[in-house]
Amino acid sequence: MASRTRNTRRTQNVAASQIEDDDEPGPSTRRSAGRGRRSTPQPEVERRDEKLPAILNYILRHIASKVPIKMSQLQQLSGGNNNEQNQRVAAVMELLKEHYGIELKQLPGPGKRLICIADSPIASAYELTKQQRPVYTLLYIILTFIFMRQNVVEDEQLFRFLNLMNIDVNETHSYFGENLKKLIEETFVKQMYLKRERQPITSFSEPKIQLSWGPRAEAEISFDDIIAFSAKLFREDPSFFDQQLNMARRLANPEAYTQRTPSETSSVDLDKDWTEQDLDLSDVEASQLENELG
Amino acid sequence: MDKVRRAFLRACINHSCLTYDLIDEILTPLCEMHKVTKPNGTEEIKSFVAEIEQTIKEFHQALTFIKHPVSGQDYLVYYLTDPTPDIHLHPNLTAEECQYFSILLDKVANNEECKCLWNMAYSGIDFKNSAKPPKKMRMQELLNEWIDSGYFLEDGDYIYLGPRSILELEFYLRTNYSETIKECMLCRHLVLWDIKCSECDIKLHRNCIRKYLRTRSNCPSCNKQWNTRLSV
Repeated sequence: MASRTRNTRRTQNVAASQIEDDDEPGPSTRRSAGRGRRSTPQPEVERRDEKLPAILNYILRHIASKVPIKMSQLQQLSGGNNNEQNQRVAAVMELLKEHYGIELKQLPGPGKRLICIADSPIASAYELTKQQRPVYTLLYIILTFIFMRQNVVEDEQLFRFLNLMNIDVNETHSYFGENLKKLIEETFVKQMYLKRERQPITSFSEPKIQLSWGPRAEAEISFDDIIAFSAKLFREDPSFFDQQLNMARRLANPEAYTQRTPSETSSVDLDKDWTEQDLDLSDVEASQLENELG
Repeated sequence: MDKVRRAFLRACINHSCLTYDLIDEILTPLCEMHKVTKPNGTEEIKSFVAEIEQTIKEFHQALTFIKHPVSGQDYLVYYLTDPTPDIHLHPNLTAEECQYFSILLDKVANNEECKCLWNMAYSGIDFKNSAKPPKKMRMQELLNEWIDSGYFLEDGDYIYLGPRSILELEFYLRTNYSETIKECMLCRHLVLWDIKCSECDIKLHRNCIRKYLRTRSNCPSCNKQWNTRLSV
């Protein structure tokens, strides 16, 4: 639970200052707001501002769906001029952090989208609803597999691996439910848990889809959580995965690990090292795995 | 303890309606993880929740314990105190799915007994020529979600209004379904099921009339002798 330090590698904290340094092309109100600050300083948005609960509740309503929130939607809810909008959104972010332990982090790329990250991971699967539990168990299995493969896998490799666990993404699973392919390829991608990229097509190869950890997974789930989950999934001692842990830490923080030997970068060949008998996941075992989510 | 309070609040928002058993299941590993003493027993849990509620009141949110008259069970409900008409406009729901919520609410609240047969929750639903009405499977899925989050309650073959609807939509129910949903004349809160006077048919909360009859023996509405049995 402790090692969440790397989690902010790609996501950035949206502090009030960053919001003010809005580099999006837009109306030239920024200049006029700047002039306003110089002549008559704008009062800070009151914490009792009536717009704040509306923005805050809007964010809270979007948390369960895990879909990124657009900054423009929050600004629209806030109303007022640019300066007021920025101050209100910044005030809401402070309140979310103080009272709910929720941080808003800006996603990389254009369009100013935000994801909500809790200040501590869940302690048990009981914090999730009945519907969420199988979904997150499957997500952890997928993230674990990708983690073991140096954070990039082809979708076919993943589906083959899931097949070894008796999970056919094209069929309804008695524990994980139906539409698993859609859940993996669309929902997890929209929620930013998975990144799905098409490999460049060459004249010698078929088009391939690659999956890797998305920004939400990086910000929300620590390597230690994944190692603890892997130990249960593969029925091994956590120390068995030391090599993967070191490799992942090295990938996350390359400067600190420049002097390592190349042999340490090898990954465990999951297809080869584990057989169907090792991985076949019964419904009971799948539901037991959800206890490891915390 | 602050981290535990915040994590518990997040779990309450996620579930929206929690039984005491679930509260205990959430708090035990949570307090262990953060190495703090777990609030034990009803009173300690209630004061722990009250402390959290103080921090969210200003954002028009509440955490309240309510005993549901139909299930007889206590629930901790997270709800909004100023629900606006788009309150159910969840980012995961389409306009038709939101409409389904309103239709279902209408069906249950317009019924004299404020209940609806389970299978009627999917049949005879008019989406007013909508291009994309939700399929039956999706309606079942949604209803299950709304039951889990406390908007509706399932008991036997019937669907009732759930603890969250009673608290969050009190004003809406009082205003729009005044024919079927009345307020208890003793406590002024909504009364949907509970107990009826055998003479004038007025609905009252079982607990309210029980207290009232400690000192009197007549119905507070018609003033005739109270004859309905108080125990369930």
